[in-house]
Amino acid sequence: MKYLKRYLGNIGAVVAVSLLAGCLLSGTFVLSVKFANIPVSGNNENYFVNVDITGEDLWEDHKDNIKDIDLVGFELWATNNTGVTNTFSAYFADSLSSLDASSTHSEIVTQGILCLNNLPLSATGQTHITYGQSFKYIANLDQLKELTEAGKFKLFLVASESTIDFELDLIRVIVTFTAGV
Amino acid sequence: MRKELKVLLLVVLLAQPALAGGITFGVGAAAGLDYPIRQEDQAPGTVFGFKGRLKAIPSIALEPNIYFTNHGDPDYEDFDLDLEGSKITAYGVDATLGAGFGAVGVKPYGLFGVGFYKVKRDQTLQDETNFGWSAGFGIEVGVNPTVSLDVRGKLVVIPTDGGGSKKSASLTGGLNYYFGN
Repeated sequence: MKYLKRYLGNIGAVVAVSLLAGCLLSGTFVLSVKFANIPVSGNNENYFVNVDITGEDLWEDHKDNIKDIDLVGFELWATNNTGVTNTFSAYFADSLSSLDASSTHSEIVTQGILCLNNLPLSATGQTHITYGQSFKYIANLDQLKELTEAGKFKLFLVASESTIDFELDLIRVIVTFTAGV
Repeated sequence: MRKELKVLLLVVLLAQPALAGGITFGVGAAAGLDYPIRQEDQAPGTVFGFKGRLKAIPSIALEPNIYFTNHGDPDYEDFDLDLEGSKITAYGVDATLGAGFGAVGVKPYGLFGVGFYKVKRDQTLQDETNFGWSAGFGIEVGVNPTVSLDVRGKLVVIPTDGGGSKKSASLTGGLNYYFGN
């Protein structure tokens, strides 16, 4: 029994040390990039941005050891200048996609992938949608996670009304990922 | 709470054949704190649960158990994430080496366990179940042959689909009650 106890004790010690080593060697991180003060106005005009997180220090540190993209979400602050309630949606596309700033509303809707569906824009004042709230509107999350793993994608915002005039005060793309160090 | 009572009732019912066979059997309940390790999308929270205790061979006991963990809402220094912590329901079996099992006095012990961990976060539609494992140490203080105090620290590792893992440490205190002594 004494030998059995010692044997099991040794196994326990090895397991505990391995666990501790594992704890120190991986983690879940939150990374964000933001874009600010973008006026969006005119008929059928869309907002377009290249999202590139590959230059972020956190991504640089872990890019070769990423295990999971846990979540991709957004934080938005927007001010409507029209006095009319509106909604807008967000679409994304591969960074190598032919979609760009000159793409039409219908091209974005048909060729892009919907990621935020019908975000509300109040008639007056500032609309704020937090990261946590953004998941209520998110669509095609698995495809968005897949594309985010490459570190780059194109993001488009389109409004439901043809005449729009609002200031996108801030849009923040927030990525949660699990990686080794 | 109804689910927890059902589990407790099941454990007590399972004790009956064990008692008939003269096998020492116990039940226990514990609660405490849970600390996510290197998980920026979680904050410290609480854990509570129930367990049965079966003496397998002298000094080694098996503990079928169920634990409920509520991670706290994470704080992020740059902005408000507005993100809820995950809820984890763990069903598993721990093996303890050296616990008192009805003995009066102080008995330190080691433990190793395996189980299924159901991780949910309604806000982000996360709902996944993974097989994980745990290891730790504890101290059981036998007040009399039927009642003991139990304090334990445990490291939990939940591997995820992409090859990463989520880890946390918990510190719990509780009571054990033994039948058949």
